[in-house]
Amino acid sequence: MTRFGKLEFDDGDSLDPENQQEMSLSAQETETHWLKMADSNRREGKHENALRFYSRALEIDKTIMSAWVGQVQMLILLGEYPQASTWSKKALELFPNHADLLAAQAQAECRRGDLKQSNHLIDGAMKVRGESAYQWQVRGELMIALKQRTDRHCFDKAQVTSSDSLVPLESALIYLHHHEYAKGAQRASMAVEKSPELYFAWYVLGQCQEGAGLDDAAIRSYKQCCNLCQNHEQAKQRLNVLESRGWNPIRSLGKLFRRS
Amino acid sequence: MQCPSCDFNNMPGMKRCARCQASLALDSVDVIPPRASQREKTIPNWLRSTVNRIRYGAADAANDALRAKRGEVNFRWTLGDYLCLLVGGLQQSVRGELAGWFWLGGWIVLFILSVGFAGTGFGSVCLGLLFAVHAMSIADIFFRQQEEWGTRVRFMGVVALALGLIYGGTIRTLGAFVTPIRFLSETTDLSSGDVIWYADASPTKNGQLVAYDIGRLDFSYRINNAPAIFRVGGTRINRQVAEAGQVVSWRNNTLFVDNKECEWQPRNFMERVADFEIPVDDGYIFVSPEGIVPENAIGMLGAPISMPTVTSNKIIMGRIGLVPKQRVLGRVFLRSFPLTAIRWY
Repeated sequence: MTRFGKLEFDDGDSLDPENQQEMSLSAQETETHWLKMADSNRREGKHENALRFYSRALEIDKTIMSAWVGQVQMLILLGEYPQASTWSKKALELFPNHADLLAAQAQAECRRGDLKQSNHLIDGAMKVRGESAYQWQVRGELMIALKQRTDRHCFDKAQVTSSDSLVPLESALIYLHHHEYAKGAQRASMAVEKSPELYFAWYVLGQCQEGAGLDDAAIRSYKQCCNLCQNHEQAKQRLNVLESRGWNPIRSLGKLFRRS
Repeated sequence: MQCPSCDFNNMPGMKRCARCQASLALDSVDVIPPRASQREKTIPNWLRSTVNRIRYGAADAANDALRAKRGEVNFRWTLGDYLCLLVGGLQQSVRGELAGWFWLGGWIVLFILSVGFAGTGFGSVCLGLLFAVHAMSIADIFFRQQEEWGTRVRFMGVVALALGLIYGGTIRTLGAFVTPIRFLSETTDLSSGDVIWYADASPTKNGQLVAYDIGRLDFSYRINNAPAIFRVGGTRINRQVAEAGQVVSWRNNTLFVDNKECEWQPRNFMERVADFEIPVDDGYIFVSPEGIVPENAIGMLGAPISMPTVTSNKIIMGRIGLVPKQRVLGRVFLRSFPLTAIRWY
């Protein structure tokens, strides 16, 4: 546990008491357990926790590829792009030319604004034999950043490659990051259809709908999220904001010029 | 020793895999990723991303094969985009579009010309063109996104209104502090047609050039027994020679302030002026009077700011030098035109 003291703990995103207990009691657990925990936290949108569980799994076995990739993905989702780039380079020393690691680095560079480097990296990742949903997602994100219209094709390919509900959910998060709310809502709806019990998917759907100006739909999504997770403070907060929102001339002006 | 990446069996003690060059020093590998400091986190991602985009090059340069077509560029309303709209062509330039550099270059050139020639007709034309280039650079972004003409027209209406408010507000705000005017008279320091800038409502001191509004002064007199009116008015510029509480006198064709010879003497037309001695009252300043009234003026109409007195075909010019402080527009600090005569005062 001492090594975890190096990590920063945000007040709003700290480990759940349930997870803390589990971490302290399960020192003897295998890496599979920690990977499972990381995956479950990732699906619930607890990216800080997922990052720690991936680290825990790697402490037991440093050759777990998915944990290295997961760490970089979580760093990106937490907005720590320079760190994600550094960490992916470090992982690539252990696993040279690994497609998902290259894709992860490409995503980090793309978020940092180095589209040229990102493009080279994702090209390299796509050349490696075998393809994963993540590579297509990163390719899609790069298309968004390059203002291409082929992003939809890439995200569709990602969903064909993997039927996991996490794929459309994280695709929606990518769209959300790039303020493409309507497209994000479409992906989040797919995630919700696949896993209606996944409250984080409802929350992301609500965010996309809110961004797209569909306030009523967003309220419904946030309410659904709150029904599935009573303690989801962010959803409650957004719900309060939306329900107390009056007429705003700037928002109305924004709607006037918003691209459909 | 088995490589974690390619499963190749390496000799013991090898630091890198002989086949894939992966690092085999797993024991020394740290598995806790680095994290950003709180300080770094305070920099907004949009700012970091925008700076990086400028630093790393634009989207168009990323790959020729992936070059964004003009019609496929998304218009994303981020805060950075809004701020970029304040300068014509900046947003396109940040996005790496070649057209953006033309818009931006044109905007900057017109901006410099507008400021450099402010107060002249050419400067006004440049300002109008600046406004037009700015509006067109915004239209260039939006028209690619929206093909419906109704929306385009509505958008341009709002853009014109917003830009009008921004430009008008900026000029109005700056105008509260400094004003450029074209000067159409001759003084010791200035020629007709010069553009001078004065600082509004700044307190003036002796020796400084001051701009003041004399309103309208009408002098009626006769030329060959025919009635004539000599009229002066508008904004004038002269040097302040005395302030409230001082006494100005004119003796032996020399101007005295508090019985000391004044450092700033008027031009030689004053030779025709009778001697006088005038105390400067509170609320007035005294400027050096120059060539306002003809020699044979015999009276005055209208609402003058001060009353010249005629004595045996000579005018006591002293009173014309008295200017109420509320008529003082400000201190002249810069001559910006003609370009060959730029000078700070």
